[in-house]
Amino acid sequence: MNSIEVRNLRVSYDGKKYVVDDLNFEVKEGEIFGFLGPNGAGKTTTIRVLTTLIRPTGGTVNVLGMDVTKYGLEIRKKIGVILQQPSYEWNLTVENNMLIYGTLWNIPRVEVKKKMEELISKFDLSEIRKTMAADISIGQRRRLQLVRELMHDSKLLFLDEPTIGLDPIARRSLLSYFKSLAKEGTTVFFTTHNLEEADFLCDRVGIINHGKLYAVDSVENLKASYEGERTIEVMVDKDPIKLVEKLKQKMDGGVVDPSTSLDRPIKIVTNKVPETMEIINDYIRQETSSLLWLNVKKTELEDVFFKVVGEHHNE
Amino acid sequence: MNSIIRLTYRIIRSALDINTISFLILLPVGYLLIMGLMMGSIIHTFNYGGTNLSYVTFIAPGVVADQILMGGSMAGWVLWSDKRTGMLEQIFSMPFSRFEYQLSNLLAMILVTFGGALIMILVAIPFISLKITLFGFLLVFIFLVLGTLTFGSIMLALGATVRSNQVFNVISNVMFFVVTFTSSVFYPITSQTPGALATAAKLNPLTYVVDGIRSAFLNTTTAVDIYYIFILIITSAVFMEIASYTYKRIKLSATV
Ligand SMILES: Nc1ncnc2c1ncn2[C@@H]1O[C@H](COP(=O)(O)OP(=O)(O)OP(=O)(O)O)[C@@H](O)[C@H]1O
Ligand SMILES: [Mg+2]
Repeated sequence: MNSIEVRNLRVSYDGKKYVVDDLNFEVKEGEIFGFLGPNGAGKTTTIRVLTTLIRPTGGTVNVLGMDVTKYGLEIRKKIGVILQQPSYEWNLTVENNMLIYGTLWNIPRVEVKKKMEELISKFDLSEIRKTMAADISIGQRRRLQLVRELMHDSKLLFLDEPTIGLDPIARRSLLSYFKSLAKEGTTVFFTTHNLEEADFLCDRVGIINHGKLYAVDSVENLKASYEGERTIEVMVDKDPIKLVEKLKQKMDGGVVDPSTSLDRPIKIVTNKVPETMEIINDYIRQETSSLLWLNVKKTELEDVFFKVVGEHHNE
Repeated sequence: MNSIIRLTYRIIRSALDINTISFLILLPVGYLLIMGLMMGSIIHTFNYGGTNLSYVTFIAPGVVADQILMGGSMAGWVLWSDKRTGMLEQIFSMPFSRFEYQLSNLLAMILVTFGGALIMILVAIPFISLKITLFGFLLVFIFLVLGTLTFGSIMLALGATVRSNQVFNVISNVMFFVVTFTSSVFYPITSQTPGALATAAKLNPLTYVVDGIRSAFLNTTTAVDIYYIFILIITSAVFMEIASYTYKRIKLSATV
């Protein structure tokens, strides 16, 4: 059975421009689905539709077998939502934030307290349990927001960039927890910029850019479909911008990482390794530049992401 | 437990801290005692509707009625702050309807208004001659509810529309001042009242709340006061509708 079914979904905020344009995908029950895409791609907008916060402009969307435009309240009873937007009761303690949340979900007091103690010890919140939410750090607030959502059971969890601001230890324990929830049958819909996370967590991913979905597949298949492709990383000591220009001019197919900066290697995803090396060689000779770093490796999810996003960069 | 009760409980717990409560109580108590007793020292008694009243007896019901502005502005403030702290969007993603949130906010503020009104009455009792009956208490209750629904909805509409803290505070303070001083809280509206002010008072829902509560306090309720209740039912219905409308248009993630 599918937990989420999206057909021809379109969303426009201003009635002119579609920020989500003709999306089609489904998420199976018990699956962890990763939604990847650059800033402004339409990830949060899609989550807002799926969580019934906004209505689709066009298309049909079913969540847990129910139409989002008709059964909003019923859907919201069964889902857990961690929005990208931080939220907390600023003048209540961490503990009271959790208790109130339990009450809002209509969980009996005894159970709320039990669950709270469990989560506080599991996610290491005991030091700040009596501190006002206004007085804890930003990462701690994010943790509170995540943990709070675990106070109630949900069949389907929406996580919009859940790990932003978390330290590596908190990140790992939360991601593992989500994984264990999925093992018990919870479906997880997850957005992130962190491709390692997606690789670790997700059964399948969708890559969205400018409101359009360009690839939906399992992480393995996506990597496999770029099997012939290699990722070349190169650093030169002079004028890397010029090299990027040259590569873009002369390369036949393939993608140059658009977010290149001076202290990071230029990243090229291509299936024409020798030809590309030739271009780099020419550049070094002509500009009397020298090579600081060169690496050719198998394509990872991150490279797939660059390729998909890069190919459609100018659309 | 019912969703509206749960949401109301949350608002009371999260919005009412000790600073807010002190402000809610100290300002009107200040009005009552300072204005009432100081003005009382120059006015002594005056004729109101055929009876001689001390000034403090006159303004006590006014200050009680003024509590609806306190409750009302809190309603708007709660909405505004829930928008800012992200709680509004979170709550909208939970099994509550937007209308339930709106109702629970107004319900919470009705409780705030009652709490405040009760304190004002207790503070005022030693200084005034109160002739209220049991039926009078019921009327006070009705006027306070309708008044809070009216002004709470106005402030909710403001909280839903305005983005910046400053703008919200300025508008709500100006409104507080204008609404209080163009009503009959501090002076009776009579044939000698300047024309513009008399018209403003007639258009001001607070006037009807004040006059109704004052009649109840003095045990001089007439059919006119019942007519005021009808006017207030209409104003509260209209403004609740307007609040619902602005609500539907709230931009999500409108963080400042
Ligand atoms: N409330 C809104 N009103 C109008 N336009 C909006 C609103 N929210 C988002 N947009 C626009 O819609 C587009 C998609 O935004 P969205 O928030 O869905 O992106 P995203 O993929 O979540 O990005 P990020 O990674 O930065 O969170 C953007 O161009 C954005 O400017
Ligand atoms: Mg987003």
